[in-house]
Amino acid sequence: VFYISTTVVFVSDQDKAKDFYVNKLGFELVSDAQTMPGYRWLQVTPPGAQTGVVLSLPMEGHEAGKSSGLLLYTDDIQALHQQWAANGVEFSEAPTQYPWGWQAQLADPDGNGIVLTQPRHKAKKGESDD
Amino acid sequence: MIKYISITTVYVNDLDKAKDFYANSLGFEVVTDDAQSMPGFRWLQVVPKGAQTGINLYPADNPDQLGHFSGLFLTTDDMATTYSELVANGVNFSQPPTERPYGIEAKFVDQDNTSFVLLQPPTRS
Repeated sequence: VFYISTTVVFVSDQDKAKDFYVNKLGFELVSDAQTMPGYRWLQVTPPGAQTGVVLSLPMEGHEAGKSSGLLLYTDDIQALHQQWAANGVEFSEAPTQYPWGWQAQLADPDGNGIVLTQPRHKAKKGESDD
Repeated sequence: MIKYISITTVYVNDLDKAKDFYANSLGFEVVTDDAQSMPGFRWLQVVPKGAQTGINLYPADNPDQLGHFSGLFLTTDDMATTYSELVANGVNFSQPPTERPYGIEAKFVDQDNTSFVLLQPPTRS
């Protein structure tokens, strides 16, 4: 067994990031601890998912707000868009249809980009995605 | 609701070399290698076999994006076996398996010197 357990998003303020990912996006808080002196290990994950995100202050060679490439999968992008918009999340792209399915885009408080997708072949059963 | 993180990104210098490393040295599955769908863009996606979350190998637009910690932790349930397999495949480890409070940890680099943590979490009994 071999899988990706966590990825990192660099943030400038861990408290603000925690509020955004937990309270607005609904991620689960897995760890918030000073595991190593001077380092706060703040880890969140989509509930039940295999791979989570460590919200870290920038490490050497990295800057806050430059992390990109986090792609989240949902089976109901319209519902999630409504729910997150109601939580105050600003979308830079509303749910839009592409050849591969639906996509929406948002950013966290530091400007780290997040893409939300509902792939075409994973549309809910009995529901047209056209 | 949100289900899971499907893809994360690793920047690379050369897509063909990266594909060779991730597929042949690490043993990841190439799930997408598509230069047709989007003009001027080759979508190269790899995933540990059977895992929920994969990696987009994305061309770096500046060399500063290479050679750092990728931020990715890879979990194995058998460090000894995974480590010997990867070493036999020519993967370059910057740290051999080492006991830590949070498990057995090793570190390796990819073809662009971007680093990864390989972890065998402590057995919970």
